[in-house]
This record gives sequence, C-alpha cells and structure tokens, in this order.
Amino acid sequence: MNKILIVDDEQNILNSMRRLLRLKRSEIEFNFALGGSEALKILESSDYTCLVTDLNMPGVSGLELAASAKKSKPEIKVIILSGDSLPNVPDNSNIDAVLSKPCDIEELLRTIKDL
Amino acid sequence: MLENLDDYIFSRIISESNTLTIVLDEDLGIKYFNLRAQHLLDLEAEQDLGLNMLNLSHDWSIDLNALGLKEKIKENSIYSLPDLHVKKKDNSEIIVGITIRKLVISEEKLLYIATGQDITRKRLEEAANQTGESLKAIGELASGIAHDLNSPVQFVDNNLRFLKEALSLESGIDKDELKEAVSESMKGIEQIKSLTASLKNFIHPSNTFVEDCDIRQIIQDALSMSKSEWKKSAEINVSISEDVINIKSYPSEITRALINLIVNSAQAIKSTGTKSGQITIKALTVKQSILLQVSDNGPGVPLELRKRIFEPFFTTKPKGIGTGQGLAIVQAIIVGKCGGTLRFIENTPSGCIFELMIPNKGN
Repeated sequence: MNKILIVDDEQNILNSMRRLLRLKRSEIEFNFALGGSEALKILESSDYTCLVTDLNMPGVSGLELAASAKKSKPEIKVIILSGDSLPNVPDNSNIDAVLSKPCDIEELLRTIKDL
Repeated sequence: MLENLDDYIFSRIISESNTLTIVLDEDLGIKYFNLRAQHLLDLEAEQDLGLNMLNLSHDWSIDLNALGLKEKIKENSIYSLPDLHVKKKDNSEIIVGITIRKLVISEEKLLYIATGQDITRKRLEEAANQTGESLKAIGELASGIAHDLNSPVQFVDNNLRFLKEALSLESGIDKDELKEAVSESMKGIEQIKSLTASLKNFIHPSNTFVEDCDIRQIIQDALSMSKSEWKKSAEINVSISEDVINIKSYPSEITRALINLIVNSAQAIKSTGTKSGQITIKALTVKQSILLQVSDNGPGVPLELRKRIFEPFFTTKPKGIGTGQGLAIVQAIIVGKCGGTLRFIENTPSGCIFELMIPNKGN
C-alpha cells in the first residue's frame, strides 16, 4: 500500500489537506509533518513510498529534506508542492514531480498515482 | 612650406572629424565650426559665423544664458553641458553632449573649444535599460507576493472543496470539523486581505503631495510584502520606540525603500547559507525626524566595495539574484525624494546596518 508524507511549514495547509483527503477515502495512507525537521524524524522511524513537500521552509528546506530522504531510501518518490509560481528546482536534485500552489487536490492525487 | 602643409592637414582632419568642434572667442563669439557641428546643430557658415553662441536662435532644450554658460566656462577649465536636446529643421530631435575647454593662448587672449557627440542612441539605450531593470525589480516583488497569496488560496480552496463534499454527505461528518474548516478559511481570507491592503498602500500614488506616514504600518507592509524573501533565511526583530511620531512624507516610497533593504539583507544572509539569520528593524524619533535602521548579521560589505554600493546596477550578488538597483532606488527615495539621509554602518561582529533619516515634511 502507498504511504505518503505531506510536509509544509503552514499548519493550515496540512489541516485542510488532512480533512479533504480523509473524505476522499483514498486507498493511500497519508501522514503529515509540520516543517522539514519534523519530517526528517518521521522518515527515520517509518517507511514511506512518497514525500510531498513544500520548497521554502525555515530550517530544513524542501530540497534538503528531499536529498536526505533519497539518500536513505533511493526509491522514494519526491513531489515538490511549492508556493512559487515558477519553483526553482535544480535539474540534479532528483525530484520526481514539481507542482505549484494552489494545486487542485485531484491533480496531486493523479500525480502521485502516475509516479 | 612644410608648416603650411601641416596646417592644411590638421584643418582637414578637424573639418571632417566625426567630433563636433566649435571654436569660440573669449566673449563666446563663434570663430569656427566643423562639418559635424554644422550637421548636428543646423549651423550655417554665412549666417552663424561671428554670432554669439549665447544668441543662437535654434530650438534647443537649454537656454545658455540662463544656464550662466559664460561664468561657468570662465570658472572651469573644462565644463560639460547638460544633455542638449536639439530640434532640427527637419523636425527630428537629437541629443548632443558638449564639453567646453578653456584654451589660454596668451595673457590677453583665450579661446574656448567646444567638442561634442550625438548621444541620442546612447541615451535611448540607457532609458530602455532602466525601464527593463525597473520592470525586473517589480517582477521580483510581484512573484514574492504571488507566493504569499498562493498558500492561503491553497488551504481555502481545499477547505471549500471539503465543505462542498461534506455537506452533500448525509451523515458521518463531525460538526466541529466543519466549523474548523470554516474558521481556518476565514483566517486565510484575512491573510489575503492584509496582503492586498499592503499592496494597496504601496501602489497608492503619492508622487506630488506628502502624506501622513505611519511608520508602524510602513514596517508591517514592507515585512508582509517581502515575506517570501526572508521567511526561509532569517528571523525578524522589530523594535519601534514608543515616542515614534507620524511624520509627513511619502509612505509608498518609504515602504518600497524598506522592502529593498529587507530583501538585500535576506539575500545577503541566504548567501552565507546560515540558518540563524537575523534582520532587525528599529524606528525612533530624532529631532522631529524618523530614524529607521535595518541591520542584519550577513557577510557585510567588503571595505573596497563600500563606495560603490549606491551606484545603479552595482551588485555583488550572483547573476539572476537582484537587479543591482536596490540601494540606488533606496537612495533616490530617501535622499532625493524625502530629503533625508542614508548611510551604511558596519555591523558587529558581521553584517550591515543601513540607517535612514527621514525628515518631517509637514513643517
């Protein structure tokens, strides 16, 4: 089963995602982390198939989090969900998909399925 | 014979040179001009030779009498005229740059040599460049604001979709969950409203008249509009002295200056890769003026570059970051428009302090 970690430094984003995704009764299991440092701890203790993360976060940034996640588990998929209209993601950063906020939740689910 | 030949060669060189050349006597009577001068300034040999330069009746943007040209060139051995816009007989307009040099022939006799170039193309290119750079700076600001709008739009959108679907279900939805979705969405709308209000303060034109400047509001607006730049790299400390008064000046422009300083600090901190960046904004009243300080703990400015930091287009940032216009704009606003002062102070142990003194224009 797919297990996905959604990371953002804004609690309101996480709350709204949690609510909506619960209602979708998706097959996928979603968990949520407030910021990069919390996400790193969660990734250490549990196994995820996919990471959906914001880019600009204080402390551990989205790209740093992605690099660390890929290092310990190369097959993990990483989707950047950024507030930037044109997210600056370097070619060599090994990111699987880049989405911009506001992003329709259906589009996010589709992207996850397609990976 | 040889001397005459030399004279001939030199006179031909000057006559056909691509540089406008005019020789004036002590009283600015025109003694000689070359073909280039004839062409650029529409001079005519029969009509204009012997005339006084000050009395030339051509359609020029500068009145040489009013400029005090005679006194200026007497006092300076080299004097450059401001850009001279010349409307020509064929109705075209060109810009000519002219420099006048004093040439002392003997104790009794002196001449002036005016040389010049057609600088129309150069000036047009500079203007185009400047427009491009200001658009780029506005573009950077706009993309930062878009970033800050995207986040609340995202969760309000999620919540509305949730509410729509939840309300169509017959059972199984926790009422508290619905209430939370509504109240969080309202917070999101408040965020959007406060950002658009800052924008409104910012774009409100105040070009001609001075207005009430609420320094607290200005600091809040500048911080909210530059949030995407500093959020990731720095903590913001604001300290506003209780005695801070409202002054009369140009609030939108001061907001813009403050945004530029905050963005500079954030980018400087980012360049060091530190996670413990600090930007401090202080405001206090000094003799009816507002003293604003923006300081950071970034890398600071190397000694040899300090003289140049206020030059337009000067930047130490990597390509693609910043336009090099930031501090030049701050200077134009604070010194040029508000009549205040701007200075750079070295921060300890590292970093920059920019200090703005903004006078009350209401007096």
